[in-house]
Amino acid sequence: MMANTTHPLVMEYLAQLEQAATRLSPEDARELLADIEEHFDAAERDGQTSDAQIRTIIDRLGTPESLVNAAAPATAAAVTPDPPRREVPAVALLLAAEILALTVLFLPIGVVVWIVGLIMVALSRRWSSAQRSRAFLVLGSGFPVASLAVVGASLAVFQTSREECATSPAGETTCTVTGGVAPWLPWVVAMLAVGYAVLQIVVARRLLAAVGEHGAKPRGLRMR
Amino acid sequence: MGPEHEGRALAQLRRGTLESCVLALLADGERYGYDLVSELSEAGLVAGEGSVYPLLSRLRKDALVTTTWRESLSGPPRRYYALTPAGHRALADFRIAWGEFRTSVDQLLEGKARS
Repeated sequence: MMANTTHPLVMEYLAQLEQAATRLSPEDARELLADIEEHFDAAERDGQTSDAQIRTIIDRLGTPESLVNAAAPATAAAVTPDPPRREVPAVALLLAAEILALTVLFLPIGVVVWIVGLIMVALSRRWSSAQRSRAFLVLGSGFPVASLAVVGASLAVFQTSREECATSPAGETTCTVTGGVAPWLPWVVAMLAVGYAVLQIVVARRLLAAVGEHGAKPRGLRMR
Repeated sequence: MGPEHEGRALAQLRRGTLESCVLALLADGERYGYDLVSELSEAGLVAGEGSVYPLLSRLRKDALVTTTWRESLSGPPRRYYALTPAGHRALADFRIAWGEFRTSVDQLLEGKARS
């Protein structure tokens, strides 16, 4: 009686498996080969040693390629590709454009980043249309709002500074600041800005969480 | 429905349930890899027996099963597989999910058959 693992058919099968397993990590390849060798050993102890029985064992194992495919999750995943992940970059780009607008200096770059971000939102496959509109309205508005705020703020500063050195009656010199910005206005603007920022953070987190939920697979129930 | 489509449906069902079937077989106690594979194969739950081994190593990496080497009277030591607490939980989750899933599919199929 010949040991199963030295049977020509088995040796041929194991050689093919070793060849196919080169695309696995060395550890995975070693483990797969050891498992399959043990399978042949166990079948031998089970009394399956004839040529016909060994052919059946090999048939039932499947082709070396199919074993390696089963051991390579990346390859299996490639068969049913996930939709591309555009949501995280979209959120990042829209918020980056908003920050770039606030720097004034990088505003032109901000325009490009903003447009790319909007396109990414439009191309999103993981968000529902409601989530996409929320991304457009709350996050996409960030860049124009920040730009307008920067322009508005510089105009206001320019106006008040001009008015400060305006009045000088005959004889006496008194400086009165008139027509400037109402003292409560900066506070209101600041409150609105904080509220807007909080709204954006909340919406951005929800939108990202929605994508995360979609991507996560429950443990122990993976469909492969 | 042709036999070709039937085969494809069966292959998809096997792919989706094999992992949980392995967990279920281990629920009663530890088992030798070869016995596990033979049992799955006889039950018609797996197409290629060899694909069970990579699945077992993945379950071990995910800490759903543990392995122990045991001496055998005939030949080299054998590797036995057993469920971890996380494996038991995963199986319990599958039991619930499967019950609901099966009911939904059955209702749908029966509804379609009546109309």
